[in-house]
Amino acid sequence: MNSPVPPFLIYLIGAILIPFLQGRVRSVYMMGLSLAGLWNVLQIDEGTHWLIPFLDYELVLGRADGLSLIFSNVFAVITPIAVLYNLNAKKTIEHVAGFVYAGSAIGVILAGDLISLFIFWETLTLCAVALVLARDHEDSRKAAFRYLLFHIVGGLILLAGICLYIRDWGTAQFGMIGTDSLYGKLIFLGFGVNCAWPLLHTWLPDAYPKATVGGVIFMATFTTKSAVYALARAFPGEEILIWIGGTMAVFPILFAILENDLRKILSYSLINQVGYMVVGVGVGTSLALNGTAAHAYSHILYKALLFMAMGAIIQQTGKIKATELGGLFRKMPWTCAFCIIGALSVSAAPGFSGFVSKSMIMSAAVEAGHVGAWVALLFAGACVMPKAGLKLPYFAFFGRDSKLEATDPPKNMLWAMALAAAFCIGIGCFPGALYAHLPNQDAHYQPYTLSHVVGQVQLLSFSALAFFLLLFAGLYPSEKRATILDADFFYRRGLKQAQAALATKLNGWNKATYETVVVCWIGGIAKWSSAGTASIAAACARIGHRLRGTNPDAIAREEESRKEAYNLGATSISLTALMSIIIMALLILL
Amino acid sequence: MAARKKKPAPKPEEPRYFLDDPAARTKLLKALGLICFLSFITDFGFLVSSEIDKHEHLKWESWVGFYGIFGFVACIIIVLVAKYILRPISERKEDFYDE
Repeated sequence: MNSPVPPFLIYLIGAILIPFLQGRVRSVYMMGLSLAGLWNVLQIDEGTHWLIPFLDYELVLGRADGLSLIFSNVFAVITPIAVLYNLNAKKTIEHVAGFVYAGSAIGVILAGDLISLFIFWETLTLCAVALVLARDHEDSRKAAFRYLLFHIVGGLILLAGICLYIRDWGTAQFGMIGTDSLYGKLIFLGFGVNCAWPLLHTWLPDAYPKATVGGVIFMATFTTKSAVYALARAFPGEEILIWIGGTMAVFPILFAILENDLRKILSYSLINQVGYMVVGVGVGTSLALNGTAAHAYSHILYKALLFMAMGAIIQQTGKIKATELGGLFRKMPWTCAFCIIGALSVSAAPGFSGFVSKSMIMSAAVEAGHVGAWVALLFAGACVMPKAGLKLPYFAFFGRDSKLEATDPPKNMLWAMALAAAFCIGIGCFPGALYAHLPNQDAHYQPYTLSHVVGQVQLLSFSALAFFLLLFAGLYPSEKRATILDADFFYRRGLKQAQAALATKLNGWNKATYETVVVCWIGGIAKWSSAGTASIAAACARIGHRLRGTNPDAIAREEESRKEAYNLGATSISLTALMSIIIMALLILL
Repeated sequence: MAARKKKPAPKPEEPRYFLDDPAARTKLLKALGLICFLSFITDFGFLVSSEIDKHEHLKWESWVGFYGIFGFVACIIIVLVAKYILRPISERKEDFYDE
């Protein structure tokens, strides 16, 4: 039996009650709500549900097939984990935004039409902004504003594409679109902004490290992965995605190696992992799309785990920079253990979740003849060691002892991490459970072959060896307090300088125009209309007086009163009125 | 550079005080080297026994130690590129954007 309620409704309506509850009641309610949401998602049958007529179109709130069910499943699974982790957050807005975020992300996944897709899509942005703002810090406020601007532009591009699509086809149905048409290109680009494509990615490492400790888990889960889903739905097999994904998989590693902020390293690592999924969509075969879905599933869980571990460090020590951390393994042993499980998963070590999903995309790429993409992904897979696999645990928990006072975080946070870690190991050891829910059941894949395990162990152990050799030889870039410029330089600094340059150039023009038009012309007209017209009137009056031979005293009195009357500006007002009448008359006549 | 060399090398799997031991670095590298060596040796096994299905798609994959060499070289390349190319180009003061 299909579930009677669209999943997003549970999260959205449930979120309304949160502000009215407090303490333990609120915690229990939120856990119950997220579990109810999960149960509801698990009840959805394949098919098309919840059709609502809207204007001349039909909103489809439940297009449930293999692809959408696996994505909504992982979104619903991660929500209780994130909520559990975030229970201690004091700000109500954080909890509300988290639930609305989850609800609208599942809404995006299940949307069968472009109108409801767009509404949910934009809601994602608003929730993310709320989660960044909730940190209540000057940096966060600025980053939230940049995030909002970036995504509004992306959203408008998407909206333009959707409008053109509806105009051309007369329907809002969301399915395979392709990039041949203008609307296709616009929608493609709109999805690309949320997917953090190269050069469009800057909002991600900008905002995520500045979000709240728990909020970032929602952000890291929903926005990019719903974009991956949308791409897989509308543009599977689009060859350019292989290039985009390959670039995404490689370039963030360079930044991750240099970055000092550990959550920023994770943000770059996130882009790198999403790159795999984008390649999968670009390859577009059954196996590749399965790989994309599987990798999204395992990636969401291990990335959440890593963000939770870093969040625990922030919460317990107040610090997150590699230069300020180190040696925490004694003080936060559980967090350290969970972080290592997350790191092994992101590195795709055999037995952990990344191993069974990453390789599926790579196999699909090489089977479809995309050897270049395979090499790029293998390169990215080897470089995961210096980027996150070893760097994160090393600089946070080992390395130089920072002598920080810290303990493991509260129990709810530890349990949330434990759950995510259990999923990472569970998926890694029993991939069959995940594979059974992948969209294309005709494609088969076996991750645990002897050669694959040996190859992967070789890749990772030699890469780790290189990392340590470089580290001990002093060749690994030392942790350093610095800003590493990314493409956001062009709008954070470039736009500012452009504004300054424009100001120096245009302010002169501004001033000249002001002096000519406002001071000179309008002032002249004003002056003329009071003093000028007054003297004309006076001249006319003088002629009359001379002809009549009026008493000079009376003339002086009259001139005085005339001056006062003209100073009221009645002439300029009547001139304006006259002009308006002339213009209106012209408009009507012509 | 000198400061870095004084650091004790960590290893997650060992008892906690292991990490304070200055000799740990060698131990760690030895352990890692052993894993590398074993995985390398297994590749020779594939070469000798043709009965094991390697599932390879590309001929490079059958080269002995292909993955190991690839991983080693890739790691060194990316770290050096980050250090000597990206860092000089894009590194600025920490408060660069705050001015």
